[in-house]
Amino acid sequence: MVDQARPGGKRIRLTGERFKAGRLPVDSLIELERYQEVVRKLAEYEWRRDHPDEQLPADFRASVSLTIERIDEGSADVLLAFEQHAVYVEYQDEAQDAVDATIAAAYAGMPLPSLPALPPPAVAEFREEIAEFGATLRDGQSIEFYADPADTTPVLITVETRKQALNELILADFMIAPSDAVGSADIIESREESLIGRVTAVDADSTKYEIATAYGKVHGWYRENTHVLEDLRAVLNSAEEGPLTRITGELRFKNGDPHRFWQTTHVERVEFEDTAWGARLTDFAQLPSGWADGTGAQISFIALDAAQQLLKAVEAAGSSLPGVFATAEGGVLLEWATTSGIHSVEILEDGLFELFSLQRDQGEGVHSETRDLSEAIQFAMAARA
Amino acid sequence: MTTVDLELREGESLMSDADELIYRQITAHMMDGSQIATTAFGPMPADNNMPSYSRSSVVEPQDARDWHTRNAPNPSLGVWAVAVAEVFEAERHVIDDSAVELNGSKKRAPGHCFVDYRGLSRVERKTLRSRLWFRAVERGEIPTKATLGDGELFAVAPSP
Repeated sequence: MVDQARPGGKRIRLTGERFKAGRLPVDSLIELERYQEVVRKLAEYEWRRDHPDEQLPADFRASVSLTIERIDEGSADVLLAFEQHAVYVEYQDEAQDAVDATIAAAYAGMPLPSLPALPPPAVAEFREEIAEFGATLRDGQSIEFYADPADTTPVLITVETRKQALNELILADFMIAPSDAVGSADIIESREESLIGRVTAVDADSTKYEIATAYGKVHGWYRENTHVLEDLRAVLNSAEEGPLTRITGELRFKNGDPHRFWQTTHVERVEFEDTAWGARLTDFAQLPSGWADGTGAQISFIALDAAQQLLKAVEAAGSSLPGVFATAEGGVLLEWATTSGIHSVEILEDGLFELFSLQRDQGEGVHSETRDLSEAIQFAMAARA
Repeated sequence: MTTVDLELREGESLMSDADELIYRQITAHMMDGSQIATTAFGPMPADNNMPSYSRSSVVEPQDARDWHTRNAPNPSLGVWAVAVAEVFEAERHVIDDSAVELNGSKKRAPGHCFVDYRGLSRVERKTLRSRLWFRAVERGEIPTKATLGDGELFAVAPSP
């Protein structure tokens, strides 16, 4: 049956109890989808390389797509074929060859093929996606991957062989440990978030970096946001010596823990005064999302910076210092409070100052807003705690 | 302050005993040293303008603190209180919602009630929480002890 597959077809045989009698559990379809996706992405890069000033054709993705031609008896012995769209077939073939060669090399412990169609950051991403191939396998199961349907010696993917391949595919990249790989049982979430730590490694070729945080080492890409490279270099040092730095971007969480920055938009040095309030602001900068009973936005750098400037001015003038609090909206509240009156400057996450005062015998507080720091400072100086 | 139309939901009742205290649990992010933020007596975003308190006629302050520490994300570091009359003075009211049906696996503290901040403007919210702060701070902390962990004979001091 296998030798009847058409040229360019793909044979993937899944073995193990759950695949017996030609059964193909739905949750293993993701393995086929991963293969399709990585071929597609590479084909897209190749097309763009040849057409640098053009939009990707609308039908490109649909044209580079796999279909299941047949599932044979035995284990789930799957014959796949790519749609053969004449216009794009060369890109699909080239991409498929590169993906197959990378899988074969990784599982044979051989040097990985170069990928000239890809910019360096995309190479790491491409290999990481290949590393996820086989992630749904459990002990006793395997994927026999035939680069060509007529092959007699397939690449054998199992829980064990995959460990070696991960070393080739991911540790080739200096910062990613095998435990960083994502398994099918892992819950991955992604959101815009900041983390505080110390940048301990930067790889400009791969547009990657490593930051030592309270959660352990977290890796990140800055990809096309190359403007952050200089900021990363400026704070690069050992975990003991480096300056505290806040990284912001699209952070992926694995089972609730920070896993890696998929994108990085800001790198900011956390430098507050060596004072009690400076320590408070440093603590606020490290608050994760949900810090206030499950809600609570991360405190914005704009608010932290404004709070620092205001507190420095107040301290320099010898005025009384306020209580300093994080607000659940992502701002900072500076509050001079006595039993005779409340005087406060609330700095919202966008830098707006809310000025509020209420004397004990007053019915309603006096409230105003400003974006003028000097006005906020003047108001703060008026506090007499 | 504006007068609001009060519409009670099924299971809610207006608290009318002016002398009754309502307890508020104070957590670490509400404090800077010994200073409590006025925000401690107002709502967090998740509260939908209904910050939680607990009724002194239903629960002992220690039990209220222990329940909070064992069930809320952040432990209680102490209990402060205002009287129902003090909320009235601030032209608001306290609602006992302990009989409102809960969705799913949600839990509600014994004697649960809330100060109604709904419908207030930002400045009115700041005013109300400040007025409650004056009263609570004048009253002082309601004596309780740190909640014991399972099997603990002595409370462990919270990390600074």
